[in-house]
Amino acid sequence: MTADAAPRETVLVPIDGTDGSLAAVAEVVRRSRGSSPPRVHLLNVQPQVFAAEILAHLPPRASEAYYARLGGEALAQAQAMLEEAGIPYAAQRLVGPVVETILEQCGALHCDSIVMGTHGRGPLFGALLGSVATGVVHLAPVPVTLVRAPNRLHSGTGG
Amino acid sequence: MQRILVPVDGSLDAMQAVRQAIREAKSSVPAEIHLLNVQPRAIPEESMIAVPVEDLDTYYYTRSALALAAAERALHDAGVDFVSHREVGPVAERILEKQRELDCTLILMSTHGHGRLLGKLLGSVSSRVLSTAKVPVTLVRAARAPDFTGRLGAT
Repeated sequence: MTADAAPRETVLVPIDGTDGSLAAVAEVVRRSRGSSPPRVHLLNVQPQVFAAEILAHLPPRASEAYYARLGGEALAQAQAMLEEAGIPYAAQRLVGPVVETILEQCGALHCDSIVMGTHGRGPLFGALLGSVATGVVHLAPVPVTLVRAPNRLHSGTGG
Repeated sequence: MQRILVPVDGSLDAMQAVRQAIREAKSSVPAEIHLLNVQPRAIPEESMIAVPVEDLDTYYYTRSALALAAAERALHDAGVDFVSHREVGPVAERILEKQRELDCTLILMSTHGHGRLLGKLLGSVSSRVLSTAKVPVTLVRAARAPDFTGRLGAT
C-alpha cells in the first residue's frame, strides 16, 4: 500500500476564472513550496448554454468557438500562476453540467483531492458555499479543500 | 510546510479526517499535525460554583482523552508525529482560536461529527468553521449514516 517514496498526489482544481478559483490555485502553489509539487489538473467546465433548437441555427463550430473562448479566458490566469511557480500541470476544458463533470473527471483522473474556491460565478452570494462547491462537497469521494477568495473574507462576524 | 489542525470529537466521522491527515503527513509536502478536541461546556455556569474545579477539570479532561484516543492511536500506529490539544468552550470558536494561535495553514475536518444533522450538507461545527476560517478548510465527507444493520463495523 505504501509507495517507496512519498507518492505524488493528483489534485483537481476546478477553474471558472473567478477570484475564488484563483485563490485555490494560489493555495496549491503555496502548499507545493519547498517540496515536490503534486500533479495539478486544471479543469474548466462550461455549462451547456445552447439549446439544441438554437444550435441547429448556428454555423458549425460557432458554439465550440464560444466555449473555447470562455474556457480559455477562465484558465489563462491559473495557468500563468502555475507556470510562474514552475509547477507542471494539465489543463482541460469541458462542456457539460458543472458539478457532474467535475466529479466525473475526479474519478477518471484518479484524483486524490479537489481544491476549489468557496464561491464561483454562481448566484448564491450570501450563502456559505456556492452551488458548485456545495454539490462537489456533497458528492466527492475525495477530500475537498475550500479556499475563500481574499475579498470574500467575512469581517467581524465572530461572537 | 503545512501545519494542519485536525479537530476531532471521537466520532467515526472524525476518523475519516484523521485518516486523511495521515495521508497528508506522509505526502510529499511535510505536514505537522495538531489534533484538537473541544469539549462544549456541559455544566451551566450557575451550578459550577457548587462543583469543585478539580472535578470539572477531571470531567473535561476525561471526555477529551476519550475523544482523542482513537485518533491518537491511529496517528501513532501510522508513525506520524502529532500534538494533542484540549479545550473547553464553544466548539467552532475554539477551533478557530486554535488555528490562529498555532498559525495553522489548514483546518482538516469531516463534514459531520457527533452533532450530525441528518440530511444536512454540513454539520453545525463544520459550517461555522468554514464560514469564518481565514485559512483553507479541507472537508472529508462523513461516512454514510449508520443504518443500524450492523454494517458499521469499522475499527
